[in-house]
Amino acid sequence: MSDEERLTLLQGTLDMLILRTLRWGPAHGQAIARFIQDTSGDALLVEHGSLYPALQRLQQKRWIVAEWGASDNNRRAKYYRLTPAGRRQLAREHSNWERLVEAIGRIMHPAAQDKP
Amino acid sequence: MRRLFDRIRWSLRGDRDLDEEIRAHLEIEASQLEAEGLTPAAAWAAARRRFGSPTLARENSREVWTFAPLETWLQDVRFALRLLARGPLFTLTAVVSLALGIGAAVAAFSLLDTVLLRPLPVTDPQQLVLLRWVSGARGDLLAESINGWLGLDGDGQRTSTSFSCSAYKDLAEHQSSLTGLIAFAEIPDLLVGTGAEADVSTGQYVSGSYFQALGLRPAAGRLLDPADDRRDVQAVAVISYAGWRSRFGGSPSAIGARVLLNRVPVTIVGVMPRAFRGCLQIGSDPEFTNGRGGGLGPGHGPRPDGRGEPPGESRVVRGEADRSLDADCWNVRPRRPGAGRGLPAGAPRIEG
Repeated sequence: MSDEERLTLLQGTLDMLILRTLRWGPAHGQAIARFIQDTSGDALLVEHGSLYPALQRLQQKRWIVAEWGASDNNRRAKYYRLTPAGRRQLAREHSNWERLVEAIGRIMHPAAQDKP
Repeated sequence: MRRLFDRIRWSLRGDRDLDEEIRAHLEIEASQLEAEGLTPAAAWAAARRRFGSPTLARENSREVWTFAPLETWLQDVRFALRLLARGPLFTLTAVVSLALGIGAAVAAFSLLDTVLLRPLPVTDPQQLVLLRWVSGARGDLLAESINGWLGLDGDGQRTSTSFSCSAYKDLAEHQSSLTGLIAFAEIPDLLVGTGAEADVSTGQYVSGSYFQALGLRPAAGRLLDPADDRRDVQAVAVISYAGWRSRFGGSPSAIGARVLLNRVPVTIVGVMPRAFRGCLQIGSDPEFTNGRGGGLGPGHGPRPDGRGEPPGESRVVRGEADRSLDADCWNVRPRRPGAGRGLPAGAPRIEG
């Protein structure tokens, strides 16, 4: 997929995607970016210029913590892990997100909502 | 607080950490791309391309942690300084007005502080009275011989707090209503010689009764006493606390040291208490206090300053002072042919 076809992330959704990614276990920055890209079918490209600031922001809010570890190919890398507070935050953002999608969906597809 | 600690920690090693993290990211990405079949060079280039600008990532990450408001404020300050530098005339005007305003406020307050809030650091300062005389009808002739402060009182008569030495002596011997009588006069320019060096300082002459009557104790050595009034003793001086610190570094060796005061050899016998700066004009701080003995004698008018009952009893002092002044004037008259009889109807009044 070329860069033009990729979607731009909605403001604020990157945080949720990072938290969601970390539900599977600790991961380093590159793995998070790769996971989001691959899982979205290459539709989402995580701007790395915004990935790292987002990781700092989440750390500051104590939703994730970081520690140095070794990567698969024995490279030293910083691994991020979800905290219990981060888990709660993910649940909150997830439900918010579903309500948002539903609300937008009602506006964009009024006919679909008329069905019993 | 926890946040502040986080920020400090970040500012200590955050940048280095992030640099290493970004490098790791690029390397892992490149090795994965290589595994997917790219040549090492192409994989590295692609990794870099995907990452975007490392500088931007670093800057944005920084902003999350560092004191952005403080840095913005510093930028504002720098900008303000640049603007001020660009308009030097405006800056000068602003700075000068501020300086004058602050200076005036400080001066006014220190004056009030000295006059109203801080009494003289002597025993029972409220008991002190300052004597002055008021001339009679033709007192202006007398004024020629006056050194020191001379002014007009409310009735347009000449008045001064300067008295002749003989008037002081007579009053000191004959008065009984005051517990003590002291006199002092400023020495505005005092040439001080210490060894090879000389400089100009200030001093005062005081009567031997001065320190005893004020109830002062020396910071070191001794203060002057009535014996120092005699002409046949060695000339001695007491140095101010500030002078002791600056000239002798507060050393005990200052006691007994010899200095030249207006070319007269004088021995320093003691140090004034730290808080006491004499009772001349506000702001004056005489460094050397001399007795009148030993050839240092004053040229003119020490100011008598009485200690005794509060102003309510002034009538008694007044009578005594009148007699002393009259006696003095009669003594003086033969030496001043121009001075007619009854001229100096001096009547010192008591001021609280």
